[in-house]
Parts: sequence; structure tokens; C-alpha cells
Amino acid sequence: MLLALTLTALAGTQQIDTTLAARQGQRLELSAPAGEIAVGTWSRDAVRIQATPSGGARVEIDESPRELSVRSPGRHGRVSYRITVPPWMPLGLSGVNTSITVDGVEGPVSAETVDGDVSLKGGSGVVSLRSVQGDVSLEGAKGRIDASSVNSDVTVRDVSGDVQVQTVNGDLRLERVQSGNVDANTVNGDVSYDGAIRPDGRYRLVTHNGDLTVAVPDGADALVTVSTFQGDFASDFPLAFRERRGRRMELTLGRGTARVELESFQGTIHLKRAGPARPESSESP
Amino acid sequence: MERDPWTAKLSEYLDGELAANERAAVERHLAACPTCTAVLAELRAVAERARRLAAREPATDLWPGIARRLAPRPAVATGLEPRAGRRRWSFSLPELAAAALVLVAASGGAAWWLAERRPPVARPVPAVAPGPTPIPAAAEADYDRAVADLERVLAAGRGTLDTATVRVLERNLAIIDRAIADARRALAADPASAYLNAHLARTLRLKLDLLRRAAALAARS
Repeated sequence: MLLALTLTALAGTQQIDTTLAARQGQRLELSAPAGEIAVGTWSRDAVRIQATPSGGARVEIDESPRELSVRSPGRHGRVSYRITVPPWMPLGLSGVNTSITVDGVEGPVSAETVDGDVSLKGGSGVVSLRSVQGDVSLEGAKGRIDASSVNSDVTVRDVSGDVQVQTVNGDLRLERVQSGNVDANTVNGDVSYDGAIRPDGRYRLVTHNGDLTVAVPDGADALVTVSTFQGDFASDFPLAFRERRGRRMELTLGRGTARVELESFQGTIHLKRAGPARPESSESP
Repeated sequence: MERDPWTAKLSEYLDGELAANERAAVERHLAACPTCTAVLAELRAVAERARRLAAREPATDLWPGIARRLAPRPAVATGLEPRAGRRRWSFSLPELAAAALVLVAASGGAAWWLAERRPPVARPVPAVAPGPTPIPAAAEADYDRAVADLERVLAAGRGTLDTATVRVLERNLAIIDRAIADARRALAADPASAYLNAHLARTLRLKLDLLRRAAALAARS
């Protein structure tokens, strides 16, 4: 049975600061068409909602055993939210002209906005971050990670699990990634990867119009496939290709068990050793 | 802009992914909300076309071709050593790319996940790589229809989107279109390239993804 609790803040005249008990299994759903969402954590099993509406915005809070819903209905105004949650609480955050920042959570997170940055530190399980025209950054997440923008950059660092990152007009940066399944795809931007190459892993990094750089750790066992149309290939490794056909080359490192697919239609693909190193050779396919 | 929580649930409603109580709530809302009813009708139309595509494509010419090409073949003299015993994802056959393209056009994120992240088989690669063939014309035609559907949905909801967002979406669709044109030109010069075929299919998929996302934004704004 739904227990409805509605709090209304009058435009520019009232701030909300309320704390509600959080039940295990309950999820926070927060929707703010315009403004900011900042989520932090504390050790209490409770959710503190601090909201500062302006320009005619309202805030509504509905609570059920499964979900704590906070929303700002209406087309006018902005709301600045500061939310404090227990670390375990799953989050679903959304906005339009909204920036989203989350720090310290340990559960699943879904955060989506249109015009605004999305930043998350923490998270586990299904972690999904999306923006259209804002940077997306993720740090320290574990699980099934899906981070995408359209017109900006995506950065993930110190993450583990399945990783999928995508943008159209922006760079993709993957740093200190521990994963056996990575998929990174941009059209107009650079891609960089610095992380594990697991023996049974699969890594696909793709750009159309940009450079692609992969730092390969010592002892990696990988079959590296390099594909380009008008681009170049540079390598810190001796160029001992096991197969070369047209614009596609294969390079075997160690036992060649992992699959690493690197594609840049018209940029430079650089396979480098992890850590500082100078190219030993270069070649245009 | 206000995000209507009901329109955001319509896709899940359509896919039968809502819990019984949520489904009942959506149905009560639909009974009283002509806007959401119209949005649902649009979504249903796209989904119906998607279902027709999905039902047709694997049953006709794509999957048998894929299966044939994925089956292990006897080694022939090529100078390349056999690779038996080594595990390799079967990922870049043009037919598979085309199938993935059609599937993503047809049924959205789940199909993308299946086609892109969980290839249907993982087995030793044949000693002789199959000769690449272009993306079938039928697949491209299906793609064109899916794009047209999504563009229609987007156009219908365009007025609800912020003008800056519309500009960004148009700019990025243009970037993708240029990449598609690049890939097509390259393929015209080298139609047998497996890489170029796969690259084209992937870029077409990206356009579908962006169109779908834009249409969803327009629907819920």
C-alpha cells in the first residue's frame, strides 16, 4: 500500500530539509528537470533530503516500501538537491537541464540527464550513466558499467566488471580498468585504454575520426587486431604480425589468448607498453 | 521541461516489464491521459514494425548464412597454420554485423546487448576465414525503414525538446552521417573488406541508437 507524503515548497520562499527512514530494499528515485542533484552518504539507514527550489519549482516526495520518490513537477523553476543516503541504497536519478554528482554509494546507480555533467564515485551492480551534452565520469565502480554521452567526453577510472562506454562527439578515457569485457565506441574523438588485458578477455575499442591508444601491461597474452582505412599504426612492440590482409593486421602477444580489437577509420592506433615508453617502430597499414 | 513519469514508464509497459501493480497504475493513467495514450500508440507502431523485422530477418537468409560460415571447415593449403583449440569470438562477419544491425533496429537495447556483447557462439575460428561479403541490401532496407520510423517519432516530438538539445542532436546525427558516408565511400573502393563492412554496420547501429534515444527524449519531455 502506498504511503504518500507530499511536501510542497513555495517558489523561492521555502527550503526543504527532511529526513525519512530508509528500508532495506528501498530505492531512491529522484527527478529534477532543472538544477543540481548532489548525493552523498552517511552511516544511518535514513535519507536526508535538502532541496532549494527557485523560480516556481515545487518538490514532491512519495514513499512506498519499495521506493522513495522525489520529484519536481512542472516546467518552471529549478531545484538544487542535496541528498544523503545510506551507501547500500540503489539510486535512480534523472533530469533534463540538470547536473548530477554522486559520491560514496555502494549499490546500483542509474543517472541520466540531457544537458549537464554526470559524475559518480562508487557504485556496484548495474551502473548506468548517461548524458547528451555533458561530460560523464565514473570512478571506483564495480559491476556492469554503461557510461555514455553524445556530445561530450566519457571517463572511467579504477573500475572493474563489464565496461561499455560510448559517445558520438567526444573522447573516451579508460584508466586503470580491471575488466575482461570492454567495449568503447566513439565517432569523432580519441580513445585511450590503460588497464588489464585478461587472458580470456575481450576488448573492443573503436573510433572513426580520432586516435586510439592502448597501454598493454607486461606479460599480456593477446591477439591484437588492428583495423584502419586511412590511419596509421604505431607500436612499442616488435611488429611481428601473424597475419596481414589489406587494412587489417593481427599481432600476437604472448600466447595470444585475449582478443583485443582496435579500430580507427582515419586516426592513429598506438599500441604502447604500460608506463612511459618510446615507439620502436611505426607502419601505415 | 517537465519529465512526465508516466511516459518514462511506457516503454517498460509495452515490453511487459512492469510489476503487476505498476502495470495497473499505468493502465489507470492511460485511461485518463490522451497524451500518454498517443505516445503509447507511437511506441506500439515502432515496436510492431520492429517485431515484423525481427521475425523476418533471422528466419530467412541471414542466420543460415551465418551458421554456415561459423561452422568449422576443413583446413586447406593457405600457408596459415591451423588455429584449432584457440578460442575466438566470431564477431566480424558482415552477415553477423548485418544481423546485429537489423536486430538492433528491430528490438532495441536487448537485441543490441545480445548481438554486440554476447556473440551467439564462441568456437575455434575456421582455418580459412570466410570471404567477406557486403551487408545484404535487405538489411540496409530494413535499416532505412527503422530510421524513417524513428525520425518520424522524433519529428512529432521535436517541439517539446529544448532548441539547444535539438541542435546538439542534429549536429551529432550529422557527424554520424558523415562517418557513414566515409564508410560507404571506402566500401565502394574495397567492397570485400570485412573491417569496412563491420565498421559501416556499427556506425549505422550508432545512428539508430541516437535516434532511438532522441525519440525517447522527445516522447517524455
